[in-house]
Amino acid sequence: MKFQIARVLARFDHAQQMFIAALVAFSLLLMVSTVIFLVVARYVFGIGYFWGEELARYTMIYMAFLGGSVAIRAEQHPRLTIFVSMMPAGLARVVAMLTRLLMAVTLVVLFVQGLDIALNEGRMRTPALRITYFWVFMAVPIGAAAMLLQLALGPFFPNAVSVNEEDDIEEVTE
Amino acid sequence: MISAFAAMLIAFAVLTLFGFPLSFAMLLACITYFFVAGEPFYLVAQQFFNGMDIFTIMAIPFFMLAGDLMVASGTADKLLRFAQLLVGRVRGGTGYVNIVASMLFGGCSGSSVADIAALGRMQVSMMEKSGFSREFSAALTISTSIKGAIIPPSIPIVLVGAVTGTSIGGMLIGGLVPGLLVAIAMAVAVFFTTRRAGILSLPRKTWRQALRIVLESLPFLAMPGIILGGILSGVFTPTEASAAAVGWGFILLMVSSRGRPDLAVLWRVFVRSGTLAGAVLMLTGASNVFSWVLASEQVPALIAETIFAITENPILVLLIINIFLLIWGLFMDMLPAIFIVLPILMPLSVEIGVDPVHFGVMATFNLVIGLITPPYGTALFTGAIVLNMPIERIVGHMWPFFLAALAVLMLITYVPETVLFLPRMMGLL
Repeated sequence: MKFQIARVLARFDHAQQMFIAALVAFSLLLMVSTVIFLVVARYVFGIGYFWGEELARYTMIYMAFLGGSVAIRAEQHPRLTIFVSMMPAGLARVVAMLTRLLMAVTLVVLFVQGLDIALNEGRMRTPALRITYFWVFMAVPIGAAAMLLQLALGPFFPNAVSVNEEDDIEEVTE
Repeated sequence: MISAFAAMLIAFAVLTLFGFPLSFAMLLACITYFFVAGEPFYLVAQQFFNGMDIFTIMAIPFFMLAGDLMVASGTADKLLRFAQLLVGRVRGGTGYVNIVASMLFGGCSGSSVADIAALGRMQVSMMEKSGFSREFSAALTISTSIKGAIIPPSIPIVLVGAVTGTSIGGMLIGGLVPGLLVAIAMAVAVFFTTRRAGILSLPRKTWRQALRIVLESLPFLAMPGIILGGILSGVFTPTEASAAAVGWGFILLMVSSRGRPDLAVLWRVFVRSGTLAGAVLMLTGASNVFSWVLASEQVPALIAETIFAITENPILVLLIINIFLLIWGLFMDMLPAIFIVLPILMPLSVEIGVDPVHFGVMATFNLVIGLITPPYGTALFTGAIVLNMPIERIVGHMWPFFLAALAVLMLITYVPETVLFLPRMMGLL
C-alpha cells in the first residue's frame, strides 16, 4: 500500500516536472516569436502592435516564476557556497533542511500576498490586451505554488529536467 | 529593541553565508524588515513583481538562448578555425588564436562561462600541441573569457542597466571598446611571456582551404554583426537585437543540421535558457524589493556621505570604488554585487559628475575581472571543471593577464571617452 502511494507520487512528480519545463520552453518560444513578429511587422509593414509588448512581458513573468521552480529542482538558483562547502556533512544536512523550510516560508508569504493583490487589485484591464490584471498578478501565487511543490517533492524524488550545459557541447578535438 | 533595518541586514547576512539562494535571501530579509516594522508585507510581492515587469530585461533570456543556440550549432569550432586562419601563422600563434576566438565568440554570447564551456577544451588542446604548457594554456583560456561578458551582447551589462535604470543600449555599445582593449592587452601579455619559449606556429593553409574556412564561418561571424550593427545603427533596440540574435541562431542551427535539428538538444536548450533566465529574473525582482527598502532607509545617501567624508575628489572616489569592487570580486560572486551593491553605488556617479553609462561599464568590467580572480571566481571554477585541472595549477600562470585586465580597468576608469565615444557618436547617450 505504502509502496504504491510512493509509485503514484513518483509518477506525478515526473509528470509535473516535465509539464512545468514544457511551459517554460513554450513561454520562451512565445516571447521570442512575439518580439520577432513585432520587429518584422514594424520594419517590413510599418505596423506597431501594442498588444505584442504586453504579451511578451507577461509571458516573461510567468516564465520567470516557472523557470524559478525548475531551478529549485536543478539547484540553479545563484547562492554562496564557499562556507557551506566547508561545513561537516552533518551540519550541512541540517542547514539544507533549514534552507528548505525558510524558502517555503518565503514562498507562502509570496503566495498569500500575491493572491491578495490579484484578488483585490485585479479588476482593471490591461491597456492593450484587455485582459484583467487578475491573470497577470496570478503569476506570483501560481509561481510560488509551483516552487513550493518542488521544495516538497525534491527531497524524495529525482530531478527529471537536465539543465547541465556540458551535455550539449559537441566534442571537437581538432 | 532591534530596529527593523538591522534585523533585515542580519537576516540577509546570515542567510547568504549559509548558502541560502540569493533571491530568496533578499525576499526573506525584506519580509523580516516589514515584519519587525509591523508593516504589511504586500509591498514585497508588489515590488518583486514590478522588478520583473520590464520589457528591456527580456534581453537576458534572449541573449542566453541565442548563445545556447550558437553553441549547439557548432559556432565554437567555426570561429576557432577562422581565428586560426587570421593569426595562426604568427609566432606563438595559437595564443593569439585563443584571444581572437574568444573575442569573436564574445560577440555572440553574453557570458564568460559559456565562452569557457564552449571553447575551453579546444583552445587548450590546440595551444598544447603548438608547444605551450597546459597550465599556461588554461590560464589564458580562462582569462580571455572575460571578454565574453563585456563585449556586446553582455548579460551582466543588461542586468546592471535593468537594476540601475541606466541606458542598456548605451552601456552595451560602451562595452565594445573595453572588450577590444582587453584583447589587445592580453595579446601584449602573451607576446612578452612567450618571446623566449619555443612555440610553433600553425601550418600554412592553402588558398582553397582558406577560402573554405572563410565561407563556412561567415554565417557565424554575421551574428556579432547583427547584434552590434543592429544596435549601433539604431535599427534595433537591445531587446529587439536579442530577439533577432535568437532568430539568426535558430537559422544557423537549422542550416548546420541540414534542416533536421536534434529535437532533444533543442528542448534542452529552451528549458535550460528559460530556467537559468528565470532564476536571474527572480533575482532582478528580489533586488527591486531589496533596493526599495535600502533606499527608504537612505542607505545610498549614507554610503555617499561616508565616501565623501574621506574625499570628494572624483578621481579618488573612483579609485575607492574600483578597489572596493575588486576586493569584492576576490571573494564574492558577480550577481550579488550587481543586484545589491550597484544600486547603492550608482547614485554616487551623478554626484561626482561621472556619466552613469561610463560608471556602469566600469563597474561591470570590475566585477567581470572578479570572475577570474581566486579564491572565488565563477569562470575560474568553470575552467577548472571543463579543463579538468586543479585551480592551484592554473592561477600561478594568470598574473600577466590579471595585470593586463587591471591596466585596461585603469584606462577606462580615467579616460571616460574610451567607453563613451561610441555610444555618444551613435546618439545612445
